[in-house]
Amino acid sequence: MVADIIHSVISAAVPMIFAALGGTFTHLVGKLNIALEGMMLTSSFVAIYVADKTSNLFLSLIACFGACSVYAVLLIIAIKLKANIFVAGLAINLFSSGLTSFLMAHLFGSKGTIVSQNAPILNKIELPVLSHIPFLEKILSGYNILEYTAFVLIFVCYVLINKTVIGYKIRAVGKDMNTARNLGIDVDKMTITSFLLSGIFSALSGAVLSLPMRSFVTGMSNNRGWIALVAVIIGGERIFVVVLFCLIFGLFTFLSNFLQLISKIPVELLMTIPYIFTVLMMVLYAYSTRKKAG
Amino acid sequence: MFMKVNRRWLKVFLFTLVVAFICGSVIILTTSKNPLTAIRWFCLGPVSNTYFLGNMLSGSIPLVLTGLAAVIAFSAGTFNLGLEGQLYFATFCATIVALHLEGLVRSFSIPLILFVAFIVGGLAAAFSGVLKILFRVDELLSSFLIGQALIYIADYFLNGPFRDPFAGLSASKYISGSMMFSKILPPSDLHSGVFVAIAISVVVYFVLRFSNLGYQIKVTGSNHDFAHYGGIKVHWVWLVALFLSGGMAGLGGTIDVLGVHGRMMKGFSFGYGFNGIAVALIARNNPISVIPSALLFSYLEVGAQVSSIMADVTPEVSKIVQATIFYLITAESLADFLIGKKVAAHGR
Repeated sequence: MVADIIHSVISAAVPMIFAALGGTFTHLVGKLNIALEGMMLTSSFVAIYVADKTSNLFLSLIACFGACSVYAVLLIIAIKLKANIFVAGLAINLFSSGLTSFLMAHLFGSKGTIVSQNAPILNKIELPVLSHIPFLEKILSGYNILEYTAFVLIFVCYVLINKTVIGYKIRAVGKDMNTARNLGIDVDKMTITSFLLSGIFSALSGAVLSLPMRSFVTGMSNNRGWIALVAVIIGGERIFVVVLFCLIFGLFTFLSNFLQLISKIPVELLMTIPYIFTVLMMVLYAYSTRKKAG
Repeated sequence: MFMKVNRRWLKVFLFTLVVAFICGSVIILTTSKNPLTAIRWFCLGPVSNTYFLGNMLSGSIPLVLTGLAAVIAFSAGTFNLGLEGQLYFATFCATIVALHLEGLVRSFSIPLILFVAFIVGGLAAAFSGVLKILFRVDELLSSFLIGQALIYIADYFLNGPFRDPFAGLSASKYISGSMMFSKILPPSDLHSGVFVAIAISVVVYFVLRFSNLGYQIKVTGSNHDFAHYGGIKVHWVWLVALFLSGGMAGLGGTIDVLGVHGRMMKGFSFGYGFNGIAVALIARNNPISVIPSALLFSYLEVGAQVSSIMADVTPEVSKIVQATIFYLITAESLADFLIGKKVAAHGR
């Protein structure tokens, strides 16, 4: 039972982990990517649309990367034009909610849900290595391919940020842009790289929402992008802290879903759980760091 | 100087207008089977008769108020992304109060309802301000998340205790007609709340421009360290600005309910909050320019509706066009560039 719950919590956290990894890169160059939510939403639609047309997981992911890269480029242009990055991000969020409902109506003639019969089925993969270890087997095994990708990418990101030249450069830009420039770091290139990486991860976070369910629902991302952003702000450059907070937020999401099944508490009130507790985490974190600082 | 800035603003606004209709037309052109009719209705529908015109004008009222809400928050250098939730929750509370006020004199009950909406919306926004001041929690995210939670809470009450059992959807009972704003241009939705909206934007303009508080808000917004050294209680200014901002949002939703819907319905205000932010940005934080900006957004909305009735257009077109404008406005230097002005020639 406990193992099953942990398994579900991790599954609930995976979309946020992807989004938060993406958000971390832009946060490292000193820009908060408000558009995570919109990228996620568009990507989950594109994933289902292309998967439905081609029944090919790979093509579907490529299309998601493409869509999110377009958004990333729009954000980069906004930065180049010295526009407010928050506002550009909000614009993208609005755009994606308009675009997805428009395309849903236009391409599928539906306003609520689309279910794809042709989309590839993402099987749960049991890891043979773990099959004899009773507790870990249930927690760490039995995820789909995208979820395993998330686990791998956490470590890839850790190495990329902490152990590679490009990671150092990106962090240097975020710490002090002028110093970085004087040291001969190409600030623009680092900013562009981090936004494109952010787009790629957001694309995955959208795909992991819709593809396993083989369906898309209006507003599917359901503000997970915003909650991931909170994890990004709290964690900063400490990737594992970011992931930890995503898991905590995954727990809230899980609770909100789980209690809808087993309790009689009204759905609307349960839906507030992720938001209220996320704000609470922000407050607690801010309070604890302020104490440390004296 | 003022005229000069204004003329420049007008140019950018006209540019935005043109882009909006080109963008909408292109989308319709690629998706509609009968594009010319559709485009004509999209561009001219709202002014084609008094019914659509009235609806367009009344649709702009909540946007004027949320636009003002965003203007006030921006002026103090704060981001209030919770407008959507503040508006929704405040409107809900005001509606419930209105339902209990039956039989009161009109000139007493309407101001009271609006007052309740203002206070509730204000408190909801000020809560993020408190978190910002006490714990340095970013109000950008906290206001948004709290706003979302408030939407669900209001939905719970609308669906449960306060639901009208005879309504086919989640909605409250109808507010008594004596508390409603009177219609100006029947059968359209235009109602006398439009004067309230105009009056409020004039008041906000004078407060921001000429009052002591307005000065403090502006100084805090442009540089809060400087404001602090100048003896301005920055924390207090943030709090007041967020309170006023949330209050405006609350008024926007409530005027909409008292003027158009007559009851609180689930999801009636979707998009007012974020579009208000866009309106404020197009208006470049000027409370008077908020009015034409809101009209533009409402025009697009009604244009899309009309062309979806008269032709085969999906009404979501307006959302895409609005978001495109939103994006282009962020890159205002792009607009400057395209209309042949040097970037940053006027500072901001």
